[in-house]
Amino acid sequence: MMQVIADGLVAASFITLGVVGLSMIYNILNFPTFAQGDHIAVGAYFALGVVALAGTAGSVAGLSFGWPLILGLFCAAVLTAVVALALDRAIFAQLRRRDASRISLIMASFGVALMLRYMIVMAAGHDPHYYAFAITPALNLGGVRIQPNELISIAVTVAMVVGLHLFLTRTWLGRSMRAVSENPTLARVNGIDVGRVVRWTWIIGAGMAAVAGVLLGVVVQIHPFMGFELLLPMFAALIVGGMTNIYGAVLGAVLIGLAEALTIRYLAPEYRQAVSFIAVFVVLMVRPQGILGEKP
Amino acid sequence: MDVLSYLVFFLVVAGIYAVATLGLNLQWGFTGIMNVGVVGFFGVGAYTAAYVTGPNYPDAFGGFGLHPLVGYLAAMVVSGAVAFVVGLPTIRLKHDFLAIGTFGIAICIQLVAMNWKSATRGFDGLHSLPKPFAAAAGSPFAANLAYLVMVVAIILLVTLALERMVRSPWGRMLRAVREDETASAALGKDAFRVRLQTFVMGSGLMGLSGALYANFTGFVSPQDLLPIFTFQVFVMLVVGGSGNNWGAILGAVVIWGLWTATETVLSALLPPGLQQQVAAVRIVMVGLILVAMLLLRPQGLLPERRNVSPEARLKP
Amino acid sequence: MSAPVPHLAVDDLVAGYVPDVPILRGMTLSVATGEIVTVLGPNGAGKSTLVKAVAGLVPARSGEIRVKGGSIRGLATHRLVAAGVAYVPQTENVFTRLSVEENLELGGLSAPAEVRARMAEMYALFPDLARLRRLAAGRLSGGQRQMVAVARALMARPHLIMLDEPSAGLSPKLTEMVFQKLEEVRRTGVTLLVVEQNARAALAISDRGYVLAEGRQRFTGTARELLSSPEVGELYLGTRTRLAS
Ligand SMILES: Nc1ncnc2c1ncn2[C@@H]1O[C@H](COP(=O)(O)OP(=O)(O)OP(=O)(O)O)[C@@H](O)[C@H]1O
Ligand SMILES: [Mg+2]
Repeated sequence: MMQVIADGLVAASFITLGVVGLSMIYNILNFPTFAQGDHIAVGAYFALGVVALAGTAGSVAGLSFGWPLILGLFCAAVLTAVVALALDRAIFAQLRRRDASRISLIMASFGVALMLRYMIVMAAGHDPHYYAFAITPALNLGGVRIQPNELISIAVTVAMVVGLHLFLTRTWLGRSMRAVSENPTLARVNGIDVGRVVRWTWIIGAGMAAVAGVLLGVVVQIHPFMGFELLLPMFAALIVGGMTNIYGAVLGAVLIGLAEALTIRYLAPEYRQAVSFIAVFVVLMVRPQGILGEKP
Repeated sequence: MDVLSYLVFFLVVAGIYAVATLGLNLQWGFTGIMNVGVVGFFGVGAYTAAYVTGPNYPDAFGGFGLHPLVGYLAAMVVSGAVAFVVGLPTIRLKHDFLAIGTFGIAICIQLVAMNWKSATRGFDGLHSLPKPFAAAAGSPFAANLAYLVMVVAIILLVTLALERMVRSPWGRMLRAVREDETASAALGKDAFRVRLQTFVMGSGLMGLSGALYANFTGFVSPQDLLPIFTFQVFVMLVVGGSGNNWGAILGAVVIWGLWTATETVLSALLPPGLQQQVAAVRIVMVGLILVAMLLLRPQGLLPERRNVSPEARLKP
Repeated sequence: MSAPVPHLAVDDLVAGYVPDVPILRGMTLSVATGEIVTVLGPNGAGKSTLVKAVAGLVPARSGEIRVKGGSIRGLATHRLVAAGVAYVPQTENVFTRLSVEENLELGGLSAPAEVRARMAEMYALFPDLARLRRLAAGRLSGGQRQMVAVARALMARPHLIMLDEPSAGLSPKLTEMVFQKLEEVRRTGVTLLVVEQNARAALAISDRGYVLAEGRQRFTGTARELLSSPEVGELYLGTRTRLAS
């Protein structure tokens, strides 16, 4: 049982890093972007590029990677943020300016998602990649077997969520984001530059997605659909936890991760994604606003 | 003769897409509800038709060997029923929930088709489905031509029915529901009912499209259930003109034409062994078309004919 | 001697939410430094649109808006605070999910130390808020919210503050209190433009007033003149009684 919880938390860490951005983008730009999954994959491939340039993923302290990949992680976060900003500028900002409907935004994001996914295929093909082939021995923590890489994933996720919490509550920009997500007009009246907040939302959302991608690549593998496969679990976490609440999204991610681990262990691994969908359904029937969401 | 037979083949497939695009138009174009899982309903229709009309598979469920027309009806009913189940909890909520719900159901349907091997034969798919007219027509060309005539007849029937419906008082209600998500919440029960009705009917058309496909190719497999299909139908509707049934048909033909043409051109231009890249370039290109249309000509090639007063269009 | 430059001057302003549907159709108004000026008018007259246009939330199609002689027409809304102009919207004027304190902090566009000092002043002006500082603003009563909204607007030390129906939904007693606070605010050297339905209470603290109807100025005069004008009474109450008897 403890093993299932550990596996669930590992799965939850990738979902969390992706869904936090999804939630921020949803609340500030007002639409669920179907491209968030592919931001994850884009990030993983950027880091792969850096590792390829360095010639090695390196190795430190019993991990299967070292400084080249850590450098790759930073580059991936920055470059993915740049990609997201460029896409916003070229597409989503234009649609907003034209007062396009939310459906148009969703559709455009679906198109962007496919384009990103298949640009990766164009550049790197369908075959899976790995940052390194080094096998690291699993740790045994009181009967629970866990890879050092997996522990790192959980630790990085916790650190980033705590950091984001401090950012949102303690800094002016963070508070501005919460303000814009609630009431953009009043935020402008308060002297908040909504355009700047939107840009930072993409930067943080896509940057964290890229980190998720690199960690997922380290723990599992890198392939063009790795992010797309996380999209349904992320949406599920968003709905389960409550669309309007970023902490709800984190809670949702943990629940979905645990549910997936349970399914893999006791039911059928191939139906892992279906679990998310069923969770969405149950929640929508019982509590449409999600666990931590407010009544609309 | 070769070109002609290719043209017939091409038009049948475009027509099958057109049926699904008409379904999405009813949902998105007229009622403003989002369906990101078009391929799921298409897939339900295709597999339903396969079970209803197919031979008795020793290693999978079903195979009732019934007439394809029965298959078409069954496909519409079953896809509509799936839509009903998905729509019931999500459709009264904001658009986002239906978008996510339909996206999820499409993925689940593909998972089932891939993994529930004792019912679906997994990636081996369901084969040897009856092709109408194949025996009677004599040659494959004549059979395809006959199929084309049938598909065109179905499209005309569907389009005329839809045109009548959207011009009725019920159709005006669709627009009222579409124009304002929040105001339609105030319409309450009626808005909910109208949305659910169009969602079920539109998904039924997507199911019909799947059935037409299954009995045309004689084979269905999880390979037919990729998200690309949803994306293609999106682009067809946006390019043709959402809110215009004839636009939906035009969009299907234009985009399917571009899709097949680019494959030919790219395969000729690029060195062999790059099939993956060809497929990818094509998707990226069509993605650019979608985005460019949304930005530059959101009304599409054939814009909706409005009979709504301009004031009703104002944003709050 | 030339006339002093008005603090706020709106000149022949045409503005509306969508092209070709002007809501303001040539509105003219001026507020002198240190004045309280009230804008009255029936529902849908365009009062909120007027202040929104000054705040840059509704595009001006023609005409001019000047603050202390400098044009602010076309200025992005978020730059208004830095220009010393604050605006309290008619509805949704607090961030309900943020605490009272966070609401105030967001209003203060300056260094943290300055924000602290200013917040202390606000708590002195509205002692009730000090008690409620940790509470989410969404859980406050209507009157308390209105105080948060006004305090938030004052945080950045504006020299001009525009309030859209500050007494909406308040009991007569609270209304009186809010207007009393506004007078106190004026004494600190702030110029006020107040949109109100509650003509009597607003005019009681105002120097002058305007009556807006169908997007244009219908009357203007001193508060006393408006209170005793039968036309204003008619426009307001639908009867030929005067507001002040
Ligand atoms: N967001 C909007 N989009 C389009 N038209 C609007 C919008 N807001 C207001 N209007 C229209 O502008 C006109 C003036 O509205 P405004 O809110 O300025 O009136 P008001 O004088 O403030 O009324 P009230 O006393 O009810 O607050 C009305 O006809 C209204 O329908
Ligand atoms: Mg108003």
